[in-house]
Amino acid sequence: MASRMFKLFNDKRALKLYLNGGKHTMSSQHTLDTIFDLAISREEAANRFYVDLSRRVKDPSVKETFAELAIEELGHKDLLMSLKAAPLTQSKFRPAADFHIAESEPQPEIKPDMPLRDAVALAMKNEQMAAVMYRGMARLSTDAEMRTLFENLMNMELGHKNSLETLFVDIGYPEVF
Amino acid sequence: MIKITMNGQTLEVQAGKTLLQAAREHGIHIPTLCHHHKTGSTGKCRLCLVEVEGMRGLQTSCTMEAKDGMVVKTESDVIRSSRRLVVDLLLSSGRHDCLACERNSNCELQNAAYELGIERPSYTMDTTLETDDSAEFVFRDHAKCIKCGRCIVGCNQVVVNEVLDFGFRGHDTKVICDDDLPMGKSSCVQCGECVQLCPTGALVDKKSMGKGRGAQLEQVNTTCPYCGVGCQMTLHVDRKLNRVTRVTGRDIAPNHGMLCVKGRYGFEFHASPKRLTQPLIRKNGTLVPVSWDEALDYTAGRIKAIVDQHGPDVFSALGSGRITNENNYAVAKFTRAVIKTNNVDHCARTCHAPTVAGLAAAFGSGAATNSISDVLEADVIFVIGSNMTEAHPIVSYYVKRATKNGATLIVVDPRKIDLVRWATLYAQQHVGTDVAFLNGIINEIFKNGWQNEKFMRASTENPDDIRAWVEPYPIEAASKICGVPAETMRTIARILGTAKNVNIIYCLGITEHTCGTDNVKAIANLQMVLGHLGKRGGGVNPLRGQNNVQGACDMGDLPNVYHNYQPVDDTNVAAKIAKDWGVTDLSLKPGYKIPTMLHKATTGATKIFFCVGDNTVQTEPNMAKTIKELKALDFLVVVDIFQNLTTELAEVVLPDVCFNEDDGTYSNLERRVQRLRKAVNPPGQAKPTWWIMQELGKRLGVDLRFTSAQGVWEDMRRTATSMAGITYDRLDEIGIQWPCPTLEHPGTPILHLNGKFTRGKGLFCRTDHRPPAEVPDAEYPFMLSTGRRLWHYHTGTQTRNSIGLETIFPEELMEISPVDAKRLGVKTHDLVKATSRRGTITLKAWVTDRSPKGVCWCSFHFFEAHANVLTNDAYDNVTETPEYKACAIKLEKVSDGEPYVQTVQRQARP
Repeated sequence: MASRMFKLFNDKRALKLYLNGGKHTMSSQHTLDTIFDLAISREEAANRFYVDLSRRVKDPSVKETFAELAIEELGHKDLLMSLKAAPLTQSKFRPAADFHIAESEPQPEIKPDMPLRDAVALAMKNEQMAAVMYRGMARLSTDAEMRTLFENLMNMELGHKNSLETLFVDIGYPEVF
Repeated sequence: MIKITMNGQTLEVQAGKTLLQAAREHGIHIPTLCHHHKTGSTGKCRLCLVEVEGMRGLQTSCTMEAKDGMVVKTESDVIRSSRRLVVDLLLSSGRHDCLACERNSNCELQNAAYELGIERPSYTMDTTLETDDSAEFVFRDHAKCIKCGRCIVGCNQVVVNEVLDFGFRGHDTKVICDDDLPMGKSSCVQCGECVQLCPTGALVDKKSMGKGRGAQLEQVNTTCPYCGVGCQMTLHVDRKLNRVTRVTGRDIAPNHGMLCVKGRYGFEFHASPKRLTQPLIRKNGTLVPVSWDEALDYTAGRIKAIVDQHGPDVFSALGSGRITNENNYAVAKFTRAVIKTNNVDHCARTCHAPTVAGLAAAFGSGAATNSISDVLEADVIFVIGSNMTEAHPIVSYYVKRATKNGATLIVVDPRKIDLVRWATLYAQQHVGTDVAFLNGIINEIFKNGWQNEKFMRASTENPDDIRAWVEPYPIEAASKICGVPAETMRTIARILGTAKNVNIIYCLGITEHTCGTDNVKAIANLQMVLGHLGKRGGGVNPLRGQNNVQGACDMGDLPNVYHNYQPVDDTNVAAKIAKDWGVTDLSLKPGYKIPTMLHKATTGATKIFFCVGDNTVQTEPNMAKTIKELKALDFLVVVDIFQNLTTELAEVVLPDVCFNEDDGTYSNLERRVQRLRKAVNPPGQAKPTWWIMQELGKRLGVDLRFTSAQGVWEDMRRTATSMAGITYDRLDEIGIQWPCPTLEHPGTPILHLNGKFTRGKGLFCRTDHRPPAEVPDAEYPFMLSTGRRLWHYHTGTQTRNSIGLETIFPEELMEISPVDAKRLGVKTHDLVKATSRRGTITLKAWVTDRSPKGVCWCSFHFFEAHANVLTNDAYDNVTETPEYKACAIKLEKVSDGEPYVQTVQRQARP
């Protein structure tokens, strides 16, 4: 379910369909609550995805990393829920540095014996796709308020991406010979 | 932030800043002489005077703190008049003959006089002050000294060599060395920091005197070719003579202007008449000059014939920790893409391979975790097996400076090295007992509950194992093995266990043992018990020895990995690289390490040895064995900048360029990739290694696509991982520390942030004490340890071909303890014969308490009396790194030497 959703988010056409059935522009058809609900459901899906993975992988470090990621996604969900309840103006995320490491890495294969490197790569690629999704939504939005919200959500995901890319740098390039 | 008014302009200033700092931050000029940002403010010269509203008289802006609401004037008739008087008096009190002065056009006093319109001094004073020409590299002219004290602060607070001070009183005040000794007779190590800080011509670089000033010379920024610190420097080049005339340090990381005696003064080797200038082929037993075409055709033909007949694995190549990243990559690519073998290695095998094996086992990666300057943020610095004042002087400057700032320095070493002078605590261990010592310390930490339980539980995989593994090493038992008194060990354990931030530094004293990998693992164990990883000021920091030994590893001059540590036996990696290189059939079989390459020469399995910048005869242990192995080869090719003992055995010798004759990069010991720039033309027909590999590849049917050093870097970068984001453009001003995987990434100064290791959780590894492979006995009663001296580097090809270094330290000396010397009837400078089971050398003795009883020491710089004639070809079982630090010898006195009288305790020499 979750991996299918990530694929969906990376496809602009599919994105449009997902949001409004392809019939209307977003500005006219979507309330801010709908957008938050989408973002929250996405974090819930991500949580389930990582919980599932943490059960499937063998390496204790990888297992623990996925479990930590699952908890982090719940944290993101809580944050979004509190933002949903608060006025829009309070939901400002500062843009984090985007190192584009996720983009430079191939999609790792999900398998029980996947190494820690691949686990973190998978997570940062997921955040990348989420950021791409929100960036796409912002571009599609004709309503200024909604565009701001999508840009905020994009910045939030870029912040997560930044954290994971920083972690990946520590893990992904060992000096071993 | 506070607000002040300066010359009518409102300035926002950080609280605590001086008026001078505030002015400079806002582009307001105030002249200074005694102030320097490295040495601070002293208020001595009084040139920086300013008016502050409400205060009587003029104030020195370098010492006056800016306060909210201050109204300041930096220019007025009164100020100018006072400044004129200051400069006039300074000019009058000395002998400032600008016309012939080395500092003309680069003199801060001259600039001040010019700014204030002073052409001639107004007063006549006694200026019969002397000059001091006694030192090898620094010329002192007291008549040009303005007593600003910058040199003194630099010597005592920046490089912390503690030689210079003010002596005498009043008008007689002058800068003195030790107790007013001539500099050449003093304890000065000639690092030249004082020269770089001097604002006038009072201290100048002696060897550049009269060879050009200011605009007559072109400045080229580059990286030092000595040691792994990677100091940034500016070469002052005389283009007409095609020579470097002077070197100055650049005020950026990692050295911030500081250099050592080699970096600042060991530069003439590039212009030595002894340089190899044309290709040589051995004909009728003699190396004769030939054209490049003949040399390359012959070399390619011989390689092809032998490989065609016996297969690719009879070929072995060595890159080098002394050549650029680009040249190392070229050697590796040639070996893999043209010959189709992975038999490529380099001198990391002889030094820090155990670091990578040990740290990779514990953390998942073998790289140094922190930057050099991080030691300034440690409250305890633990140095084990590193003679850094000689081998990595700039690191020692930082460490010594940290002690001045209050850090506790613990030094553990079998020899009472010079760094001990600055240590809070010194533990003199027996040679080869590091594991016992470290396990004892860890045991004591557990015993007292000083371990970082939180870190161990959160960040390590097996926190309970280590406690059990060190149980057989209670302090008393460990003390018996390592020789350090139990009470000293307890104190060290307490200091380490209760510290806020411990920085662990080690070097080859740890790695060059048959138990080298275990030693490194024990260090990793200690730091994981302490938990000071993944933060500024902490970490485990091995000091890589050679200028580019990190880079040679990074470039894949290793038998089991491509560049950036991509495994050769990974089919995906091989496919990616083969596709980019446009070749097929890359070998998936890891190649031989150096000792195996050489050993297989005697069995016929290695027939070709392609040796770049290594001087294998002098760098491998047991020289007689190495010579025998090299003589057994079918074909030995040497690429180097000088003739040496290895070229004497070669069939083909190809002349290489050196550090300032081509563009390129080095990677320093903190993973920082830094630029080299071409400053002079190479001698004769010398060519870069990458060009040689390109030409040989072409003759063997593979176009390696190398057209320039930058092109080689880009070729590497296309399939790089951790260095994919590093380009020449990005390196233009300052280096970048890998991992830097994308163009957007800034580089990585600290690894394992927040206790997250490359392998996920850290792994404690079991280590147990094993004695060296050879220990003293009745026949060979002394333990010999070996290493590097301050004044020389590698096998002496660079330092012994630079003017002055050999004058300071002209020949190898055997260090002997006073106790042993007395028993043998040996005095400093007497001739002694040292014999091991492998050979004999004869050299002068240096009786010194640096050596404990029963331990001798000498270096591998001098072929005339070379440590590796004696050393043992016993290897670390994981990495095949030789045990250079321990072998048994006997000593005999040969003859009396010239009487030697010690006048002052000096660093790094009698």
